[in-house]
Formats: sequence, structure tokens, C-alpha cells
Amino acid sequence: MKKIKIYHQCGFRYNWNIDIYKEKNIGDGFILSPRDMEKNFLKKMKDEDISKSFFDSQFYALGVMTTQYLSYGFLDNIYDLSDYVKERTAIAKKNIDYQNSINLEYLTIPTIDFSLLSDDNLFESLYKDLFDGIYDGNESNKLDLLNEIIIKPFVEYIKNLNTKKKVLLTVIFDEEISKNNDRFSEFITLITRYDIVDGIYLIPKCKRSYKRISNIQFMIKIMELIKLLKNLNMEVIIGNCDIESLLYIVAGADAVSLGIYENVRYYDGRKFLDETGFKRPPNPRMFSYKLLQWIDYAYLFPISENYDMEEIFDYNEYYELTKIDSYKWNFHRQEPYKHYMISFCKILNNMPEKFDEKFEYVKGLLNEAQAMNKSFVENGIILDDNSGGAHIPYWMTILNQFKKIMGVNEHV
Amino acid sequence: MEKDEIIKTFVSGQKEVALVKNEKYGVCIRKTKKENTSTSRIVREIEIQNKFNCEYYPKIYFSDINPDKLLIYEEYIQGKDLSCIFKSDNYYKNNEGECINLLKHLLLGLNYIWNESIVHRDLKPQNIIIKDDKKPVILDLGIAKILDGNDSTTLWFTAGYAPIEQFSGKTGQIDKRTDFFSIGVIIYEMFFGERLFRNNDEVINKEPKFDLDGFSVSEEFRSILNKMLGKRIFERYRKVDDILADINAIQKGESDEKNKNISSMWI
Repeated sequence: MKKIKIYHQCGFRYNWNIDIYKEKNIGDGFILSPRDMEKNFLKKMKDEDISKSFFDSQFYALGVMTTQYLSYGFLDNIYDLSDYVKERTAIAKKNIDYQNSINLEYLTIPTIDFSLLSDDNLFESLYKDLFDGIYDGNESNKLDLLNEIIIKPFVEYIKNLNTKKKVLLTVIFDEEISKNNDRFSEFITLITRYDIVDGIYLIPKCKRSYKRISNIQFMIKIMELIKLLKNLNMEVIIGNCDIESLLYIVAGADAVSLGIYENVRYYDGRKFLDETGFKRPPNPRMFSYKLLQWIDYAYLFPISENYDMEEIFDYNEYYELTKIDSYKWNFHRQEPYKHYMISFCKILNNMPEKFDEKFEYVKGLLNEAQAMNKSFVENGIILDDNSGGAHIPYWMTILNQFKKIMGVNEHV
Repeated sequence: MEKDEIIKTFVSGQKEVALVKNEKYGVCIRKTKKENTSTSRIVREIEIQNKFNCEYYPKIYFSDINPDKLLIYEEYIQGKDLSCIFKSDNYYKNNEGECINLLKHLLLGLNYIWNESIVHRDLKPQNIIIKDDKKPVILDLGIAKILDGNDSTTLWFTAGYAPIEQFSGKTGQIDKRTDFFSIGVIIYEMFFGERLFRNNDEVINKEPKFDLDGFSVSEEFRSILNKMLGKRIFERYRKVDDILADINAIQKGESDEKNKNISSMWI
């Protein structure tokens, strides 16, 4: 059975990821990133662990982000996008030299999130300078800019390195691309263009009403993309993902990511902007392998009154630790997150290899979640929208429709 | 130039082309300027050809190009172009082995330009001469596009051989996969002995058929052609090495089969 690779997406409290990797052998490596990891920390990591990891440079809000925590020095004296454009060749060199020097598994080409940069005047002038053309704000123009200012300088520098290291290209797949077939074609044409790129580090970006992604069109399209990339013998690693990674794996993804807090399990570029102000943390949650959902801890009591908890929650040692009467549920406690990592990895590690078997496996999980949600309602447990199973019918539909695209008709 | 003995003249849109006997270069191709001809295409062609000193492109012996003057002496390739072979003794017809060999050599030859981020953009039977040793020589790099430069957004193509991204003006999307498509069309036509697409509409709407009466096509060969003929650029092979790997797998399979047959004769 081909093992799905699982990368720890390192963000705030990344030491919990490292603990669980070392102590419980959970995960295969790390997605290292500057926003929350001190540069010096990387020096302290074992070579062996670094060699199974790759680097997300987090250039997402390039030109508008607060640079003090993001750059590792790559973007010193870069105050806006035009500064970057002037220095792009040197920055690509500095960035790739750094990645090369710490001997990572892959060299990773970063990307930019245009939705965070709303300066159309700047884009217009850049477009005129770079292409002698007129910028009209569409996705094609953005792809042209992405190619010219980010991808090309990195590709050219890596080509000249003559390295044997595999190369990943970071790309954000958003709803705009998923809705428009022409944009989708242009997007995939660009990201498959360069021979030196061995794989795609794919960041799904999709609005949610509640905690789980339930945009059917978006999910089917991203699964199609994964399938197309696999047909072209490219590796596909999905970043910033959560339980929906089950669907990405059915489509053929080679690797998915595992994160502690929600802001690494879901991509929201606004975190790279200078946001101030207090945000109330949401209620702590516990991951249920049976419901394929994170459940507000307040529900643990009624659930325990009606069900054998082992049926709903994976009984690993971290779950045990939350059971003591004096346990204080809050965001600073590591047990629920470590419980999740062990529990979810168990599901991923049992994933079969062949498409039909993967489909059946995930279909089985969704059916069980559906039945359990129904049983909760029958027992008078009405989960809140963020803990409930509203996403399950959407995911079943996504799975069915994707299978249709694959040429096989069978309903969940 | 005065001393050249003209053996034959050719029809050419952009240049006066003649097969000549030159005192210094022997029998060779001479290209000179037609009135009102822009030399920019020709300059590009010469620049590219000069870059590669290999068997897949004619050698340039001499060139003198400026806005008022054009004089080129180029290697004369003895052989027939594919369009002539197509019309006469098409030994590629229903001959998978020969077609695969031709495909392999075209890929190896074009890989010289692809490695330099150049795309040919006008591959068609007339631009490929087959030498006596059956190896192809690739001509007419005049509209080749240097992908990293701003040299060309010209809408120039040969209908039936150019893929959608080329004739629909999506010049930014053009890359070596554009050439993969044209090669796929050429190989298909040589194998089946008939045109695949006669115009752009057919390129958009017509699917290649492989189960034609009297033709025997292996699954592997069919799969290679299908992956070269993808309508959308990203449906085609991504790397030339991937095509060569599939070709090698077929050729290895054939030689294994041959060896098996030989050894079975001794059992």
C-alpha cells in the first residue's frame, strides 16, 4: 500500500507538531515557514528532519505584509511590490540559496496572493513595464504577472543551479479559477509549463460559511486539477488543509498537511496583513473520527451521556488527558490537537491505494458520519453549525460527481 | 555570388532560394533577398540555426544580412521532404516502427531548440526533410519563438498543424507543447496516409480516429499520439523526456519480443 505523505504545517505552537512527530512518529516531515518559526530554530532541527521537509516562503502578501516576521531577510528593504519587482532576481537567488543551504527535501518556488494586493494602479504600471500591455484586472493578467515576477526568476535561478533536488511550485487555487473554464485552463497551462518543476504545492482558497469547505464546484474542480497533475506525472502536495484532505487524496494527492490551529488548516491570506485588534478565540473543539468533524467541547457531556465515547472519539492517550475533571479546556492546551493529529493520521494511514478502493473507503467514512449525525438528532443532541454534519452531504455529492468525471457512475 | 552555378530554383515566400554550386561551399542552398522582404524573420532563423551544430538542422556556411542585403549559403540536405513522401512512396504508412523512429528523431532534434526555450511553431511535412539514413532535418525556424524574449506575438501558423492556443492568439500560452501537437499531427498523417485536420475548425472539433480499416495500431503508439494531440495544451505531455520514455518502452518491448522469438527458435 502506497503511504500518503503527511507534512506538519508549522504555524503557531509548531513545537506540538514536532513533539508528536518525535514521540509518536506522526507525520513524514514539516512545512517550515517564517511567519511563526524563528530562523534560529531551523538551525537547531536535526538534519534528518530538515531533509524530509520543505519551506513555504510565505510571499503571499508580498509588498503589503509587515516584513518583520516574514522575511528571514529575503525581503529586507522591500516596501512594496515594485521594489520587489526590481530586485526579483536577487531575491530568488537569496531565497533558493537559503533553501539549498539547509538541505531540504524540495526547493520550493513561492507564490503571491493577488487578492491581498488591491493596488490596480501599481499592477497597471507593472504590466505596462513588463509586457508593454494593458492591465484590465482579469485573472489572465494576474497569471502573466505571477509568471513574470515570481515563477520565472525562481525557475531561471534553479535551472542554473543544476541541482538534483526536486522542485515544488506553490500555487493558490481559488474560487475564481474554479468557476471559469478559460481561467482554469490558463492556470493549469502555466503551472505545468516548466520542466524543472516536479510537483505542485497546492493551497486551496475557498470561502466557508461554517468550519468545513462545502463549495461543491470548487472541490470538484480542485480534484480535477489534482487528477490532471497526476496524469502529467507531477507530485501534488496539498497545504493548509483539514479533514477535506480525504477528498484530495481520493483525487490522487500524494501528500496533505496537518496543522495545529485552524489558521494553518485553512488558508486565509489576511493573516499575512498587518491586522491588529483582539479576536475572541472560538470554543475549543475535539476531533471526532466518526463524525469527520471538530466538535465543540461543550457537547462532550451530552454525547458521553448517550454514547460510548470510544465510538465517537479515538481513544488515544491525549483523549484520556482531557477526561480528568480538573481539565481546563482552552486554546493553550495541547491535548486536543495532539489527539487530532494521531486520530486523523490513523484514518489517512488506512487509505487504500487504488482509486476505487479509496473511493469506497471515504464513502464508508461519510456514510458512517451521516448515520451518526442522524442518531445524534434522534437522541436530542443538536450540534451547532460549526460542529454539525452539514458538510457531509456536500462531500458525498462531491465524491459522486468526481467519480462521474472519472468515468464511473456509482452513488454514495 | 556571380560565380554560383544555379542548378535549380525553388518557390519561396520570403526569399529567392536556389540550389547552386559554389566555388567555396560546393553544392549548397543559396538564399537571397526578394524585393520588399523584411529580413527580421530570416535573421532570427539564422541566429537559431547557428546556435546548434547538429545533424537535425542544415548548417549555415555563410550569412550576410542587413536591411538591404541578404545572402546565405546553407547546407544542401539530400533527401525528400515528408510531404513528397506522403504523396509518393509513403513508407511510413501503416509502419509503426518507422513512425516511432521518426518521432524519436524529431523529438531529439527539436529538443535542441526547446532546451533554449525556443518553440518552432511551424512544424509541417514540408519543413521536414528525410535523409537517406532516414533521419529528419528540420527546416524553417523563421517563426520560431524565443519564449523568454518579447520578440514575437505574431499570429502566424499553418492551419491543420497548429493547435488551438496558437491560432486563437493565446500567444502567451505557447510553449514546446505547441510543437508536440504539430508533431503528433505529422506522425498521425504519415502513419494513416491521410490529412488529420484540414482547418482550424477540425482542430477544435474533430477527434483523431485510430481504428481505421486495414491499419494496425498498438495501444502504446495510440496512447503516445493521443497524449501529443490533446486539444488543450495541458492535456499533452509535459516533458519531452516523458515521450521518449514511452517510445523507449515500446522499442524495448519490440526488441524483447524479437529476442523471445529468436530464443524460441532454439528450444
